[in-house]
Amino acid sequence: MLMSPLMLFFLSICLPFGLGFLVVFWPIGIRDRRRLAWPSLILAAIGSMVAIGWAFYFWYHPSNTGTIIFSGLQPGMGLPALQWELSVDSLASLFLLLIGSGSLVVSIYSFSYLGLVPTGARKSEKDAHGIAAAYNLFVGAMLLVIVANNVFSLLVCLEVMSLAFGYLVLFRHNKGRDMGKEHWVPGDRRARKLAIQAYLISSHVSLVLFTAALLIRGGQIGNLSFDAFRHFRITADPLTFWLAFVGLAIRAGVVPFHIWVPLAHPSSPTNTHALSLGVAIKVPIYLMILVFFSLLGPIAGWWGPVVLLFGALTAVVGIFYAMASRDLKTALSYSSVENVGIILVSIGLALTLASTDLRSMPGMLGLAGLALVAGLFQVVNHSVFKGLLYLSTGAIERLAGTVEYRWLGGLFKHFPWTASAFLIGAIAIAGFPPMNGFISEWLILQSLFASLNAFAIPGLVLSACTILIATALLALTFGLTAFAFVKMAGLTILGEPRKNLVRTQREMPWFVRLIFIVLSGICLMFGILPWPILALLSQVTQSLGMPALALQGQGNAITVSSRAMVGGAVYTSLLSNGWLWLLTIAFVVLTVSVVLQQRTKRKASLKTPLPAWTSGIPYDSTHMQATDAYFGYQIDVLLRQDREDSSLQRASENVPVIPKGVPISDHYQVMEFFQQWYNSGLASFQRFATWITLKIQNGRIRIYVAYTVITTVGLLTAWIVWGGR
Amino acid sequence: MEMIAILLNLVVFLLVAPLAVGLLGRTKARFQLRHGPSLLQQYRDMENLWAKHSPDLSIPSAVFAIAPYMALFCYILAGALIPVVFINDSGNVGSTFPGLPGGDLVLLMYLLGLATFAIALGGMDSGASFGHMGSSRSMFVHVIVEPGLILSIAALALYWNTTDPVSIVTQMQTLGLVGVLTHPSLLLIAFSLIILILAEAGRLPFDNPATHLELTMSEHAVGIEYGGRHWAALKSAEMLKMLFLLTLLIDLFVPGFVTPLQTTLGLASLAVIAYLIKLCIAILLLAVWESLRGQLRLRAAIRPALLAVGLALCSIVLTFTSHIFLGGR
Repeated sequence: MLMSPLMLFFLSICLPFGLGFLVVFWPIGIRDRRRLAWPSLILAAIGSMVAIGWAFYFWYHPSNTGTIIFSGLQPGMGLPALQWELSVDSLASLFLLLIGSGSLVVSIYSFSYLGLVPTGARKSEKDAHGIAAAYNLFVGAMLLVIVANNVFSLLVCLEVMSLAFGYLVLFRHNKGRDMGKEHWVPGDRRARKLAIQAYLISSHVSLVLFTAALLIRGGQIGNLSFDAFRHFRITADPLTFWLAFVGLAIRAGVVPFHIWVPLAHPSSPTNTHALSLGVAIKVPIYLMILVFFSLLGPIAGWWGPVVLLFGALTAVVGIFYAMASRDLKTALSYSSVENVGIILVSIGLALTLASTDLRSMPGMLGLAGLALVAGLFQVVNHSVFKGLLYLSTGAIERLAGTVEYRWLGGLFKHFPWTASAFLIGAIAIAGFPPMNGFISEWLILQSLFASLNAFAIPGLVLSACTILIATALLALTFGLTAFAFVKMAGLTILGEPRKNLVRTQREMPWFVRLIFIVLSGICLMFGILPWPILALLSQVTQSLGMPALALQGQGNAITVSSRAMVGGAVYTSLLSNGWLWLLTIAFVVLTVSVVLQQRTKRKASLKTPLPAWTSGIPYDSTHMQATDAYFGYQIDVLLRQDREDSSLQRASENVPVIPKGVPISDHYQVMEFFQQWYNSGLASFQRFATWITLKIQNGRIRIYVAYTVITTVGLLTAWIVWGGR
Repeated sequence: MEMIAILLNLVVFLLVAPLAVGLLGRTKARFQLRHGPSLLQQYRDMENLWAKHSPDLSIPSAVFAIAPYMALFCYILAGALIPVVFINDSGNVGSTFPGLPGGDLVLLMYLLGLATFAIALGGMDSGASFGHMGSSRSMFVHVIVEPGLILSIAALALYWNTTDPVSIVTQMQTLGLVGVLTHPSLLLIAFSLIILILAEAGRLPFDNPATHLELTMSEHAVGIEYGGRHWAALKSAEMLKMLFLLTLLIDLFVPGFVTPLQTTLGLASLAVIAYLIKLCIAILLLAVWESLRGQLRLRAAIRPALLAVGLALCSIVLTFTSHIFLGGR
């Protein structure tokens, strides 16, 4: 039998990642099981490289129809066989490339993070082999989710991915248990237990809803293969859309379903945190693009605005709590939630423009392509700069021993590599030129402006209103992002250390620094030379039926032009990247000259450097620098009239089911409205359940006899009516 | 040709900046029945400060030293991106100097943001209370300004079908010298932008540049640890920022006499003189406003910012209505 490329792909993904998972169970001849993490991580790196290679292959040879790899048993009469069917189009190969390169970087980084390569005085992580095994399973399943082409294989891979990540979420729990009594704070223990509980519950609720949506759709079509879904040209009913949207939204962390993200992800080790929130959170986004644009039939007009509004809300809420949280990992998790929101805004815009009512109007499909290109560029960019931020956070955690703002500060002088990496990531994610975040934010804003111009006709006033709301919320988001990252960078790497750093600690090993350089370089490259990657992304949208006609690029400028509705006018805007080049050159020259000057000055200076001005009181780095609670205070105050309001609570007062808010200091926390809603919802459900139980089981024998009689009579009736053929 | 126009614009922009600040200071002094410093005092201050060495501080890292220069460069770049006196883009992209001409309002907004971001990081790096307080406050103002700014740009984009300042200037010139007065949508955007520019430039009622009382100031608190040449860079950046914002306002709403460079010498000098006159009027109005107004509490500053958002939204609604019912602007 000649092997098809997809069969080969399947085997070449399963083999390294499967072996990488199994190798840690090696039974004999191992004294220190942690050493098994070595082959496991090497296999993960090999598997990632294979995935990158396949991504390039499939880019040029996409298989647009599914191939059945093997066929399983038939579960029952009339039910379809459980087949394993794969297909790859150019969108899928883009995501394969993203996941492959993300996991390659993380696998290499893990040698340092898990302490396999000795760095400074650190010992290797106790559960290094377990983490490596779960990581292998996670990445392998994630790659297979992307290529799955029927309901069964998709659901199996999603479930494996969830469970593998579930093991990683246990990391802090296990670590706290191993570190002994002094680290085993009761409140903290609850949080650790809550992480895994919240994760498992939310991922399974999401799986149930998503499965229901796919099965309803499959039942209407009579086939569970996505090829049949694609050819079924009837719009799905609202229930299916909502089930699919909510199911995927929970997994992507869309507000108000995001509460598990900041609980679960900070509990996982930081190296896989980079993968799970930098790359894996894009998997539900990939599924959304797949499901809404091709699996649910022609696009209904109201889907786009729904996704758009949820996205805008997610962006604002996410970045607000990122600003309010008190440690780097939680803040970055919330910031990922925000970026999911930004991406959803552009997906929602593309859905609106490509819906059945609008797609026939001139220029609308071209604009939809532009919006989707902007969204996909944000997907790519977010993976790069968020990866950089998470990996440098992991380095900070290793070097300084903590990620809480109140113990950090002043890392720039001691660990310039790590700190510069974090700073570059912060500039990129805050969307400032000349970094890549700026280009994608520019494209998203321009696509919003252009569609606002295109919607100036009577029938589209409502869509124009949603776009206006989304623009306003996104604007607020962009402002808050800058604020949040000044806070993060300022409190962790600038100023004076709030705690004495271990002076003997050395910088991260050379390969980690190389990773930092490569990722920062990509941030800058995509910023000053965006056109090549934008051209690739517009090929992707073209394969989805939305050529990005509104976007043109010369070598030195990007032009957005589309037809406005009124009087045949053309909306045009242009971004020439010569200015970004100038900005880059200025920045490099400045940095080099300042660093050189400081070095020569330090050598030559006879005087001691001046201390900070403190009115004559001895300098105290913990009390004379801003705390995290202070820094966000201004914005916190805006949401309340006075400080005694209920939104700021004593953190230790009562113990809710889910913690109600984000702690901003030892005593205070900012209320998460959504978590409060879930809490009150759960509490009232519990009250209702108790009440109804007491009504049913009220202890009277007569009632119980009546239940028996009713059940018997009911069953007999049912049998007589339906069963007695 | 574009390159020469950009360079000439920059020369005018850089030369006028200290004069503008001097004029503002002197006018305000006159309102307080003082004589005030000479108009040329800012030039002397600059000469003095740029010649000094900056002190060697024990806490800050390299970020502290890079920040003010980065901000300064951002404002110079912003000045090069708008048609100050001459139109700096002949319309055909990248004809002579690849990739340079053609500014964009969104890019300008992000350049201003980058400057604020850099200075705020510098303030955080000083490791002292005032720097941190000032960073928090100036970033807070940045946050509340951002929605209004982007909505105003959206309103301009809806009205002019572009976000390119040069194209807006040339289209605006067809409306006549005071065309803004007869176009209500534009007038609303102008009011919205005036409020936002006051906030962004750190003027009253958002921030009082005249006080040096640490509890009330935000912009000056960020740079309190700077000295010598660093302080000179920071101060120049501040001057350029104010001039840039006023020039942007002039360009977007009363751009009469801004010409392409291919005109006669007489028209060119007329352009310079007209720019100076417009600038003087703007500065006088600003001085009158600042003499009449007190400072708002920082958290109350959200109200004018919300007003700006509201004005921009009103303008968008107005443009929409006229598009739908009148079929044009």
